[in-house]
Amino acid sequence: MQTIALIGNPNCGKTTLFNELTGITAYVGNWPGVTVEKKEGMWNNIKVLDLPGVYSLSPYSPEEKLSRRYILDEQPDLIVDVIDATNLERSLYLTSQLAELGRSVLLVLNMQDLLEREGIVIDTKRLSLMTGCPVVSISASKGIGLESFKKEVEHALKENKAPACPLFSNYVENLLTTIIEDDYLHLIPSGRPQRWAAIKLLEEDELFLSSMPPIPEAFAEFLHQAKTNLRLHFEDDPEAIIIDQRYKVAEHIAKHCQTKKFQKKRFNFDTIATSRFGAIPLFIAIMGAVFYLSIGLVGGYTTGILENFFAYLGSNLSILLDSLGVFPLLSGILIDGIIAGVGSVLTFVPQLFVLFLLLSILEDCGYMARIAFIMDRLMRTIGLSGKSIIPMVIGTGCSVPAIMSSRTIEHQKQRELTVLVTPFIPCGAKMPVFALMLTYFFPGKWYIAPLIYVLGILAVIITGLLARAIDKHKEKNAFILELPRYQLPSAKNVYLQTRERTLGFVAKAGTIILLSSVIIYLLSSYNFTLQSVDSDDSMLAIFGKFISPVFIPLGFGFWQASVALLTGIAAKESIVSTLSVTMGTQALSSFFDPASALSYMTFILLSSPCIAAISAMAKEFGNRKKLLYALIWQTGFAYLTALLIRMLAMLIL
Amino acid sequence: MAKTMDELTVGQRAEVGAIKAPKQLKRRLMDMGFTKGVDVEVVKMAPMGDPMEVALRGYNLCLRKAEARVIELR
Amino acid sequence: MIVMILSNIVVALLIILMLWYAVHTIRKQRKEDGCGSCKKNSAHSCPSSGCKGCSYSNKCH
Ligand SMILES: Nc1nc2c(ncn2[C@@H]2O[C@H](COP(=O)(O)OP(=O)(O)OP(=O)(O)O)[C@@H](O)[C@H]2O)c(=O)[nH]1
Ligand SMILES: [Mg+2]
Repeated sequence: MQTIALIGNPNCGKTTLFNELTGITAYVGNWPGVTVEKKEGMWNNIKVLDLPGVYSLSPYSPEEKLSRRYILDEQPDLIVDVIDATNLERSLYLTSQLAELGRSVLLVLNMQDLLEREGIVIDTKRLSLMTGCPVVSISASKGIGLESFKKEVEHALKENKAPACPLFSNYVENLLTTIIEDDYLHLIPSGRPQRWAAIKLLEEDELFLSSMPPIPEAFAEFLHQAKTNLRLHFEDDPEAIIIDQRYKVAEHIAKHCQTKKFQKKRFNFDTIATSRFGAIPLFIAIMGAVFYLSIGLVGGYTTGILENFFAYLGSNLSILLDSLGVFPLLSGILIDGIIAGVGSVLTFVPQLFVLFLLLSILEDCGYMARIAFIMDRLMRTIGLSGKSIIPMVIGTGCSVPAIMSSRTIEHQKQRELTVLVTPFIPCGAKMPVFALMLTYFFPGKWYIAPLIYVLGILAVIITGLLARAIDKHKEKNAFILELPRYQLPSAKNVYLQTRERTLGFVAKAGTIILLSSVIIYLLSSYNFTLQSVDSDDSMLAIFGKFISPVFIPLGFGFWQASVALLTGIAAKESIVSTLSVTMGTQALSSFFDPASALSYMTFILLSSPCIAAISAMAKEFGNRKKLLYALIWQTGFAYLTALLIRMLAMLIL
Repeated sequence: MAKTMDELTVGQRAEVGAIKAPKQLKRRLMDMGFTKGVDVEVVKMAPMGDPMEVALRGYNLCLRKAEARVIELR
Repeated sequence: MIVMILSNIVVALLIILMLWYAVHTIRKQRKEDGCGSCKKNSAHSCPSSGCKGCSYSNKCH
């Protein structure tokens, strides 16, 4: 089976093309660095690989290292270099590096649909002649040109011809030729061109050098002399000279293949979005509108209806099954376990659907990178970077992709701090708990819901400030981010992303929640001798009473609450399903009072996230100890804050 | 002392000269297209005056003043 | 009598079906997310093997 790898600059449409080819719904969004892991799919018996975007093959952040390692070590049969056609020159810089690898390369000019609007014309025949690669024009999001793409891929796979290497200036080329003549170059890994290795030697590429045997003394001396000569000739470091030479090649090709008509400046949304006084209020307003529309408006309307529906279904089914003479065990599992548990979670599908819809619109329009731009200064004061805000916005939907998206932060400490604080932003699955508590204990007090987010943000700030105070030596780190163009969100994309996430939530209700509801029901209805008992004497109660004393200071020291918290580790929605299976939501007010309801919400908001998010954290930390510290911090902080909130609430309420 | 990029104001254009930075940062900036002789224009400053948005090679990029300071102009 | 037995069987089957589906799906997802192919095939170098779990890390987990 043959393999093709999609590679290109960030945000050029690789994943859109990958989805179009394979029918998979991988994560697409309009900012650089959406894909952070390699993804495989099948297309016409060809293995297609989607890789994180890179600007060059000298990588900086972990996900870029993955792309480089893949391209160099795995040797795909065809490198599909996806190019944002509106950004030809910079894309050709990467192409000049790919062309040296001695593999066949197919150039894909994506975003055809935008060229006319931007007044750009590209001569693809000429581009193909000058680069020595076949060229095909497509529009991945509009599905244009996929037929000819397919033909070109098949052709290129059959032909398997490496493109011509881009030529540098005579001085550099002569030097490269003499380096190639040395015997040391015979030691390079097979399948790797000598010219490529010679360039790496000049650049002093660490990853390459570490994979090679030590350089003999005479040759090292020769290399040193060559580099000194280069420095004198160009007045710059060898590495910079090579980059400069590559960009000269890219400029040269772009100049000959593309004509740009002058465009008069159109209105740009950035006039408002990143304006001096409007930017941050607008950001708060947008996020506020997202939550208001989903949780407030749609949620407020649908939750009650669906809750009644499931209650109605349960009670009628129970009457029916009783009249048919079904055993109480069976009807109990079905009604008090499955319908009560799964139903309590499904109640939240409509508002989460709206939330996911709005988030995917936000992600596809180009605003995300602007948020990083406007928030960088503020985030820096708490030891984070502007890029840390992107995980937090995504985290309002689900923490797992949010934690993964922190991988684009180059600086390791900032990245780890971002991973630690992202779960403080309440995800969609925590919403059911808050909504449940708010409707029972604070009806009509609309201002509590936003306060939950404020509390989450405060937790982020406090953690950031503390981490900064502990970590004295302030390292310099860079913040360099491409700002993509604004666009109307593509309907197909928004549809696919929203469907994927909503179905994911529903699927969780049908699997984890269903299973845990049945188990919780059985454990809470029987004692250790398997006799049907009152839930207070059940196995679950006895077990729960081991933990519950810990929570007495927080005001929820009864076993149901503790057991619910435990099941919440599997999935945060199961807190609600467990509460409704073990005590029924109607009975909530006989267990909680407003103060303990607040402290319960606080604890859930801040304590360690669900198992999926924990394993995402583990992966980003790459280290058990750090993960353990992070979880201890989150849970300890949650405990103390919940205690504080309860005391405050008892004073005020 | 050559003028550096962080001294430009919104709307000003200039030509990039040498980059005086540690290896890693220099390579990063050059990879993004800041090579000698390329035209840059400052498009915008973020609400708190930092980072800044610049246009080069037909695309827009934001970077902090601290990074802009290592890019000399000519 | 027959109605009673039948309805019991139907309800029991329904529950078993749902549970089976849940367990099946969870296990399938586990396998997809996990590192199955690395363990089975030790010749498979970890970072580059197909499975999601290893696709990024330098070492296997
Ligand atoms: N107008 C237009 N937009 C496109 C086209 N292809 C992709 N896009 C948009 O470009 C944006 C980026 O697409 P992605 O597929 O996520 O880009 P990517 O290359 O995978 O990006 P990274 O994963 O960050 O490297 C999305 O908003 C797409 O909707 C196209 O042909 N035309
Ligand atoms: Mg992608």
